[in-house]
Amino acid sequence: MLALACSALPAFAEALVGPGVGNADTLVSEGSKLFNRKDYAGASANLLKATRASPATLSTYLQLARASLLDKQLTRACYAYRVYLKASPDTPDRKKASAESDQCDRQLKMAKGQPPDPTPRYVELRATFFSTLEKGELVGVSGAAQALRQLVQEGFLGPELGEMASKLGAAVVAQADGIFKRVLALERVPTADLRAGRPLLEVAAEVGASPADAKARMAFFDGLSELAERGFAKAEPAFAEAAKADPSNKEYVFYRALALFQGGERFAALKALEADLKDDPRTQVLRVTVALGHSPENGAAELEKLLFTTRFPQDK
Amino acid sequence: MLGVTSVLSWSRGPAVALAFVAFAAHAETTVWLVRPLYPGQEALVEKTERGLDRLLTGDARKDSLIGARELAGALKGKTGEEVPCLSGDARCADPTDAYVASLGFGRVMMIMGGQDEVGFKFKVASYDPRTGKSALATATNPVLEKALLGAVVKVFPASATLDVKSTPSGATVYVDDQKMGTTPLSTQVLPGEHVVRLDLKLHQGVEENLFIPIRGAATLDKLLEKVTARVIVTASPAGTSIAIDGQVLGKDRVDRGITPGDHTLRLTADGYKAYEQTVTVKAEEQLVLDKMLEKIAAPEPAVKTVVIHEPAKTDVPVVRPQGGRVGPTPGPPIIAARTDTPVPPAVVLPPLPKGPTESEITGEQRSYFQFGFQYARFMGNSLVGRRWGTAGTGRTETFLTPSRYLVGGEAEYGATGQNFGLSVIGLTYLTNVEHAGMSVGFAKGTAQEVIDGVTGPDVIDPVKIHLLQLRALQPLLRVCFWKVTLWVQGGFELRTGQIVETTNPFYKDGFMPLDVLFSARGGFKLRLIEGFYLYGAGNYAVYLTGETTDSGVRSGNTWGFNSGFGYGF
Repeated sequence: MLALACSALPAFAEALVGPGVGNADTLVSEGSKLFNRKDYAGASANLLKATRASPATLSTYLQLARASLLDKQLTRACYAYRVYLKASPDTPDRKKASAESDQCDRQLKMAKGQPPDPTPRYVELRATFFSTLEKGELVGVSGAAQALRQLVQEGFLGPELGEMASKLGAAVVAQADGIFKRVLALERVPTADLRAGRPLLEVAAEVGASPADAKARMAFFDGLSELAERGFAKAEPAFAEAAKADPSNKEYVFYRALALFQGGERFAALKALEADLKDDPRTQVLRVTVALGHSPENGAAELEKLLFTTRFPQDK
Repeated sequence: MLGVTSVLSWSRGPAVALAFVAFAAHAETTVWLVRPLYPGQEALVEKTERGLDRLLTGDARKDSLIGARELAGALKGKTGEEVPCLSGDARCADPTDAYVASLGFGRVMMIMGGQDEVGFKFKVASYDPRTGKSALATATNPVLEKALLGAVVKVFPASATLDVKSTPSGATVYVDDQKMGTTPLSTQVLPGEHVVRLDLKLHQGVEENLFIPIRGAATLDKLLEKVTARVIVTASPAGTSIAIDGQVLGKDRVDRGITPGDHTLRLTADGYKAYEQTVTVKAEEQLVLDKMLEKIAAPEPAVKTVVIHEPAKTDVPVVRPQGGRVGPTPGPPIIAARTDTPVPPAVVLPPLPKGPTESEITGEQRSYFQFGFQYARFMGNSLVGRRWGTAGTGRTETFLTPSRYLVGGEAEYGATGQNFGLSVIGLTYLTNVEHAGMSVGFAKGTAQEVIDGVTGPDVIDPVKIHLLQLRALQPLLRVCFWKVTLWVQGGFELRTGQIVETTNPFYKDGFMPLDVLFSARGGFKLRLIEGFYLYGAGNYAVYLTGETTDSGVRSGNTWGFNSGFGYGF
């Protein structure tokens, strides 16, 4: 079910929060430029992005509120004023901002056709986010990542967004790392968990928490998922991609050989292992089996070599 | 789960039934692989594999694969499609153990064999794929199979069972000359070649060479023939090997039946002269011999002790050999007692050679060390010493006090022939123990010594005298009788030392005598135990040359005596 849920997600989602969204200073600068040209809609769009790129920069919320007010988006403007006033109670322009907020509220009462106040909806989504985060339900339609996506899509604002993204990023990275380590520790990991590996790392990318070897790990998870479902032909290139992305991790090489071996390509598997894991016991055993496939004499010779090399204790 | 199957049997003579039984200890196969330990010794691999083939019999052999060829045969038909940790979902870092086990091998014995200056050397590793553990053992022996077994038994359950029966029972069982018990006997032994011997009084002993395979069993069942003659040999020192007709029958004591006729008895022990004697034993006779071997160091091949003891339970008369030297504590008198069996006639042993006399033993002491006390008295009253350490003109001259004797110790080393020898070196230290004072004169042609403008005193009192007398290469004449040696020696001796005033000395460094003497000494040595002896002697020393004072005084002669102890060898 998790696999189905994950498969419903986009392959490469846009960044939600953090530097992946864009450069906050550039976005603010661009927004200000548009504001001065009286392109208040364009300015609002840039400033909104700027708040996501750097949720901790409070002045952007005030600029967004003013641009939205002049763009006649009163509901958004009033919400932005409230966020700013709540987050920065001691700023010098608080008195002026408060007056502007009151004026915005008065205009909103008088205005017609404005959307309803989104705050109740945000409260609900925030609660969903934290509860699912606490349960470890990070990806999928009812997971914390989806709640955060909805908050962002529906215009949630505030410095808190940065903290939420950070928490989610740490959680998804930890969960993905856990699966990765279980695989490397030779545990038998359920296919569903293997399938969850890539979405977790994608969420990490959305919130700006990707590990350095995320690309290799995502390919590795892809390969493992395929291998678990006997998709050897798809698994092998995935492992090859992982090995290419992170040549320091020789387990990717082994899994590539494993995909080849299980796909019936024994010689290719041995060749792959000989190239990078020549003295690994798995290579040595595979060498024996390949030799045995050639002739019993070759198999016996290789087995003898293996035993004397690895099982004959050295003198102390 | 030891299954017993009779797989091999043979017999040696009508009275012997030998059956080997192999134990099927493991249903799984044991693989024996051999590699050369040293370069260029590949030929030893085949030799070792042949040795293994000989050592493994029955089910143990059936459950074994020896060498790469047999291993290849066993692998025939195994394609290796399934590889642990590669096939299926389970993963592991090292599939070797699981893979070897999947081939049906319960144990792999890896042997590295080589030949060097010591003999055959084998390193054997026993690898158990179920646990993944390997144990290593090493053995060396000039015989290939012994070296191989020596290492294998340490890491492989290879012990074999030996069952020994005899008719009648009660025979003593020896395996490779080690007493194992009496029949009927069941015991565990190491596989390989063994010599099993059965001994029973008044019965013909038997000996069998058995080859017992690894994890095999052997049964020896012998009918012991009764014989009418008996031999009882007791030998010392402990560990003396007793052989009759070239066959070693035991150590220290042998009591067994023997066929009538001529037999050669031979006793051997390390460090002792072998003893060999041919005896004729007639039917219904008993030969009793108690013999102590002679040390090789003794001067002549002599037998110190031959004691003919009284017979044991089957009393038969024994005749003491004529002319033989009887030991210091002769055995009890020979007793002929009645028994229910006929009394066999006595055996006469030939006379034995004499041992060395006390004089000869004393005379054999050709080198000596001795330490002792020496007393020496000046016959005159002068002892001239020149100034010590300076070019001063002062010279000691005469004793001014009545006491003129010195005492001290001496040490000497010498080497001799039968009567003539050499005192190689001797050293004596002498000092005064009583108060002494001396007059001080001056050297010829000079005047009384002046130091810092002050004329030195002509008397020093009290003085301490330290004399050191060194003698070397003095010829020596000796005569030995019983434990006593009388000897005289004479030659040159050098005398030096220090004479120093002990209270407020004006002549700060004192005086140094420097005289050449002719010395002679003579005395006796009494040997006590082994080479240790006590000695007493007189000594006499005559002044030859040395310092003379302006008034013509020179050092006097001395006489005295010595006593102490030494060791000759």
